[in-house]
Amino acid sequence: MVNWSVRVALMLTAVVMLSVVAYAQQPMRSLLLAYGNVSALGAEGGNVTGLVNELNEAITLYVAGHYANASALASGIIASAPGLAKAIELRHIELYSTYAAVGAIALIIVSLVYLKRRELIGGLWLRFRGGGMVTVGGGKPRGFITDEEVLAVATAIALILVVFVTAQALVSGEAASFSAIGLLGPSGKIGGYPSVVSVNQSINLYLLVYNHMNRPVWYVVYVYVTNTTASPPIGGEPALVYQRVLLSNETWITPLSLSLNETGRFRIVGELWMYSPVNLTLTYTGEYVQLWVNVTNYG
Amino acid sequence: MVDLRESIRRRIREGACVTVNQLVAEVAEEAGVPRSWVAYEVYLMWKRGELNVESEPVDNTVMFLFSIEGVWYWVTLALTLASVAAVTLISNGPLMPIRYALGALSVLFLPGYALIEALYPRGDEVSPLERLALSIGLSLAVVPLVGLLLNYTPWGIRLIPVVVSDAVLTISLLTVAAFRKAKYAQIPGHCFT
Repeated sequence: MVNWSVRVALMLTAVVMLSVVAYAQQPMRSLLLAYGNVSALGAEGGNVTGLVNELNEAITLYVAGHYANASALASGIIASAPGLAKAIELRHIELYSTYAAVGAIALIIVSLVYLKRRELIGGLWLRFRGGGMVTVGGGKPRGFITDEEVLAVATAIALILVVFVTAQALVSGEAASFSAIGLLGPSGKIGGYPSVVSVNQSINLYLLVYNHMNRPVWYVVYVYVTNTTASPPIGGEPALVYQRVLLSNETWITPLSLSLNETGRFRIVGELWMYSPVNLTLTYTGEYVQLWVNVTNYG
Repeated sequence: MVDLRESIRRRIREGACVTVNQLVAEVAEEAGVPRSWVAYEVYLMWKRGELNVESEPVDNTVMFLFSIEGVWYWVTLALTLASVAAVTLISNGPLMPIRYALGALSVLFLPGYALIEALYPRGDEVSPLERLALSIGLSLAVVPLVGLLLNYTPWGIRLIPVVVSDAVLTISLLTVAAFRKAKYAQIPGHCFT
């Protein structure tokens, strides 16, 4: 399971290496393939911060029309992917070997201590408490470690915690993955949103995008200005487009500035789309933000 | 095989105020077993409350803390400081399980345990199971109160302020407990009067 994605990334990379020349004329395609590799490597826990930065640079170049430079950057990312995939696989092997070794050593130590408990605890206790005076006790137990009831309850709690944490670790990747988009006010915080603006007045807001997909994801935000109440996705030509690859658990806040040149009641809608890391197609996440504004002639 | 516990009980009934060393040596010789085995049985009987082991009274709290009676303080202090170190220094990698374990301990057990030790310092006022249950329950009650107080401070409810205030609370309560336990340790026992 762990190495499956790495193998897929390697296979994908091999295919890409063969076809990179054919795709050289299509920078968008090579960018997507580079993204697919980076996302797969990130999903396996690799440190892909540098690659994501390069990918964002390539996307910026592509958007600016520098296709050749964008393609060259994407090719560089694709070329470096196999090395990183191998490093991740080695790290996983090291990690599991370490866990196994530590577990085995802990088990051996616990077993030895249990088998030799009389010699160890008895010897130590005699050494430190040998001078104490022994009298008949009051019958009230003291101390956690030697009390059978406490040990039984502690074992039960530990068992429940281990089962819960293990189950959580197994399902968290699928259950907890989500993407989020938010609209922040002019001060970069929630609140203070403009509701009435004059024609051609600049509306300054901030867009917030959060990646909790447990892997790097390429997000695209389409901003529409419409006077309809249709549910997103609205379709058609967006007023503004923002795009960026976000690392897992990364938050991206970017300024959103626009002005409206006619009066009326308008809705500013931000739709969150993402390139699926699996099939590399642009997919609507189902998440959007909106703000209604009245545009008037009065300043 | 000789019943070690019965031999120990019989020896205690024979004469009062025998030292652990004497008791262990006599019973070990009688039973023909190593002294450490007998010492282990005496230790278990002491923990179960069947026996009392009186130590020479200490003069002050510092002496108490550096005696064998004060080991619990240093162990709990070390666990608290290790929790702070684990939570602040470990953010990923193979050591994460240690962070989870120590973090859970420092939030769900140690504050309540320190409070119970401060409230019941003698050791036998409540049973070990009650002590465990109260430790967990009081931790769950005390930690949100720390969060409530932090909310009104300039630092807010963030990782470092929460970890530090939790550790400060635990260490403060532990120290109060140590002072109260030391007072009991200053009272001479039956055999030392």
